[in-house]
Amino acid sequence: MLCEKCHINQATTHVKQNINGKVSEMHLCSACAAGLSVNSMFGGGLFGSQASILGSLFGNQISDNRQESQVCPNCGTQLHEISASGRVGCAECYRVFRSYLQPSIRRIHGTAQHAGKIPANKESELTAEQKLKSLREQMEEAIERQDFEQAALLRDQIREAEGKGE
Amino acid sequence: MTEQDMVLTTRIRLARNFTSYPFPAKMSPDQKRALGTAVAQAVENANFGANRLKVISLESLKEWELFALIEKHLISPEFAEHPVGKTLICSEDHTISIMVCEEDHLRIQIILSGLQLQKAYELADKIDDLFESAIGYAFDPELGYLTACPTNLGTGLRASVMLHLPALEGQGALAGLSATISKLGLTIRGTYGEGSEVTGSVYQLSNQITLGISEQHAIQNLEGVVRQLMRQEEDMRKMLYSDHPQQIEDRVWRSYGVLQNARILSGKECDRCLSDLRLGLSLGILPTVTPDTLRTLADQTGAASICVAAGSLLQPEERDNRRAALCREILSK
Ligand SMILES: [Zn+2]
Ligand SMILES: [Zn+2]
Repeated sequence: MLCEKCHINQATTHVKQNINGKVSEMHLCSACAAGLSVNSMFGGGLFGSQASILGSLFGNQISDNRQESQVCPNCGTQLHEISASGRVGCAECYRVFRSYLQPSIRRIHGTAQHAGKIPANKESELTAEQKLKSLREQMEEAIERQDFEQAALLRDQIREAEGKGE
Repeated sequence: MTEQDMVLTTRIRLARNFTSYPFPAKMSPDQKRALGTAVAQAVENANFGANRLKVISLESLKEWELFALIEKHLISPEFAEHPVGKTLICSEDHTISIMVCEEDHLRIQIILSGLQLQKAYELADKIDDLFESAIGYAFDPELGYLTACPTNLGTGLRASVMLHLPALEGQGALAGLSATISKLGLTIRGTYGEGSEVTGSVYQLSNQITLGISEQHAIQNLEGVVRQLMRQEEDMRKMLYSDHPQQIEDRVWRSYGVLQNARILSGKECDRCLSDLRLGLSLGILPTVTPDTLRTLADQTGAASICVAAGSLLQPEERDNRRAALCREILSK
């Protein structure tokens, strides 16, 4: 049997990994097993289940839309490549393929609205309206999480932003 | 029992991309080298205390040197797989490592010992600001920091804590806990060797979701669960020790004896013995062993670290001999 990672060497080692209580097994060559055992905790990359889950998520949508051959003009990545690898080719891909990616992004994260750090130079580029929209969504999500402290903080920020707009 | 008895390390990782190039999978080796140079320039004059940053071209390293970097968690196996054009920037004390052209343009990583999520995040944030002002990130008001894989969108933050959980593991309590943990938006990982035991009873607990949650909330959420797990592990250790003092003491001293006397020591056996020593230390069983000794043992006994110390790629048999000699030497000090 060939190594399931490199598909080059003969598999000599049987490795089991446990993620959230689910056990996956692999047959590896000694070189790949060494890489895994020293570092399987880095992110479980060898078992790359994320890529295949993503791929199948995107895949379903793409077959519905029959837009497989659409291409990102910036990096040349095609939609079917994204569905196979679970990875996009460049930042611009998110704009080009947004309507296909958005439902999967929501499924992965439960939302599609950023609530964290904003680069200082990007903050001034956001319109007042975008800022308000982002704040409102963040507040709703905080309420959903029952994080009322954060929600109150956001409510005050919204009031302040609304005041400025008038 | 203290935090240090159960938490080995804290890690923070930020995934970032610039607008100037496509993501690494679509970059040529020359583009990767150029980006490595630009990133190195951005941190050239940065000052992180006494912590000097070194710039390493991955192509210049030998295979076992790459493995040693993986073993110390400074780089990911994926990063080492195709080294052409890639750059690593890391601090001399190994707390800071910046992978250029892993899956994303930048993976900024901080590793601190013990439970120090806030401190680690602050350092990552400071480095992040440097690149932001020098090069400029790919950012979208709705999707946050844009990443090659949509699972990292938003903050691009992966916070994780390495926990030593021998008592919970031994009582089979982790299977039940993992279901609860995944419902809280976290992931717990352990690794099996060829047997059925997780290597050295070490588990990694990390956040899963990065979009729609702020950095602070992700960290607080993780820290809350870590503290709960620590409390349960501590209770379980104390209960086991008071119920079976003889068995626990025998297990700890026996492992100490192996590390002190063995002539052939596999990585797996060494990990298991180290785990027992850690347990013993937390229960006050081993008066002569210090946390520093344990750290030295853990740092130097990895397969790749042994090869680096020897300056050549050793066969497993030779490594096992050297590992045994190394443990005898460290414990005789
Ligand atoms: Zn292989
Ligand atoms: Zn693109």
